[in-house]
Amino acid sequence: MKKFALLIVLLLSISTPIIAQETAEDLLELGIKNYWSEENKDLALDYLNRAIELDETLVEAYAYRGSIYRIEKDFDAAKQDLMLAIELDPDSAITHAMLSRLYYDQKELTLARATCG
Amino acid sequence: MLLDDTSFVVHYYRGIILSQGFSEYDNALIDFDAALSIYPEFIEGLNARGYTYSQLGDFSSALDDYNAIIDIQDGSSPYGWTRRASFYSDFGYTEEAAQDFATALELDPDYVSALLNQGIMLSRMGDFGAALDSFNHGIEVDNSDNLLYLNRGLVYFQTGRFNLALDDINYSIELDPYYGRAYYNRGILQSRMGDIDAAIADYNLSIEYDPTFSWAYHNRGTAYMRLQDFDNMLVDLDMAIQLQPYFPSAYNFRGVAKSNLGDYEGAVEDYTIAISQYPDYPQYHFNRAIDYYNLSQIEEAIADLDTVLELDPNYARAADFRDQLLGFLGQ
Repeated sequence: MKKFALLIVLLLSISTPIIAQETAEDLLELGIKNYWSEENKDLALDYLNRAIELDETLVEAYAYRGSIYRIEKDFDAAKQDLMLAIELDPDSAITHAMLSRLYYDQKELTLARATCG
Repeated sequence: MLLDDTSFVVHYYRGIILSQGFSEYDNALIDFDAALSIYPEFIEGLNARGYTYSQLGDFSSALDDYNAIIDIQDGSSPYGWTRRASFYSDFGYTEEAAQDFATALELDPDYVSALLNQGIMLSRMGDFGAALDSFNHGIEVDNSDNLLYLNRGLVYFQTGRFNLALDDINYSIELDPYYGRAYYNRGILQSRMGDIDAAIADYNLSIEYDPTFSWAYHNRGTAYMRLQDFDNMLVDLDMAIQLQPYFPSAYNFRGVAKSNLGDYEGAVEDYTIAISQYPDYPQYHFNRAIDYYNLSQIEEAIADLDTVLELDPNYARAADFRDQLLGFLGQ
C-alpha cells in the first residue's frame, strides 16, 4: 500500500511539471529581447507591464516601456515613463538615450542633442 | 547575451540623433560602430549604419550592412529585403530593388513597409498607376500609416488631382503632426494651387519641425519671390546654401534675389557657381546673361546666350535677347 502511494506521488510529480515563478528581471529581459526583435513591440509591452507589476522600481522596464509608447506616438505616456525612470536612477544612460530619441521624434532637436550625451 | 552590455543602446540612439537629426554622419558612424562592436547582430543598428553610409555615398559599405541583415535573418524576414530594396531604389538600381521588394512581398504580401517603399520607387519611375496600387494595398492593411497617405497624395499631385492630393496630405498630417516633410509637400501643393501665403505657412511649419531641411528654405525663398519679397528670399536662399553647399538651384535663385535687389555683380557670382555645379542647365546661363547685360558686359552676355541656344535651340527668349544685344553692338 505504501509502495502504491509512493508511485502515485511520483506519477503526479512527473505529470505536473513545477513551473518556477518568473521574476521581474526575467520579464524585463524578455521585454527587452522582444523590444529589439522586429515587430514584437506588443509582446515586449506585455512583458514590461508584468515586470513593473512585480517590481515598481525597475528602471529599465520604465525606460523601454516609455520607448514603446514613443514608437506608438503616445508621447505623453512615453515622457511620463522616461521621467519616472530618471527619477529612479538619474544616471541611467539608457534612459537618457531613450529620452533623447523621444525629443528627436517630437522635433525638439536641441533638447535631443543635449540629452544624448 | 543581449543584456550583458547594454551600452549599445546608448550608442545606437545617439547615432540616430546625429545621423538623422543633425546630418553628422561621420560622428554617427562612430556610435553605430561602437554599438555593433558590442552587439554585431543588431539588426536596427546595421540598418541605421547602412543608411548613414548611403548618405555619405559609401555604396559598398551600406550594401554590406543590408546584406548582413538578410544573412542574420536567413533571408526569411521581409524586413531585410525591404531595407536593401529601398537602398537600391535610392541609388537608382531599380531592377535590383524591384526584385528585393518582390521577395519581401512573397514572404509577406501585406508587409506595409515594402508596399510603401515599392510605391515610392514606382512613383519615382513615373509608374503612377502601379504606385497607387501599392499605396492602396498598404492603406488596406494599415490605415494609420501617415507615410502611405502622404505618398499617395504626392502621386495624386503628380497626376494633377490636386484636391485628392490635399485630402491625403491633410490626413497624413492629422496622423502625424510632427512630420515636417508633410508640411513641405503640402507647401509645394499650395504653391502649385496658387495660394502662396498658405505655401509659406506650410514651409514655416516644415522648417519648425525639420530645421536642417535645405529644400524647405529653398522653396520658401522662391515663394517669397512670387510675392516680390526679395529681402526674405535672399535670407532663405542663404540658409539653403549654408545647409547644402552643393545646391545649384539655390545659387541660381539667390542670384535672382540679388539681381532684383540691384546687386548684379553678386548675382553673376551666384549664377557662375550654379553653372559650375550644373553646367548644362540653360536657365542659369540665361539669367547670368541678363545680369552681364545689367553690368554692360554685352559680349559676356552674348556668350552665355550662345551657350543657352547650344543647350536648347528652342529657347526663344534667349534667341530674341541675343538678337537685341547683337543689335546694340551693331552686328
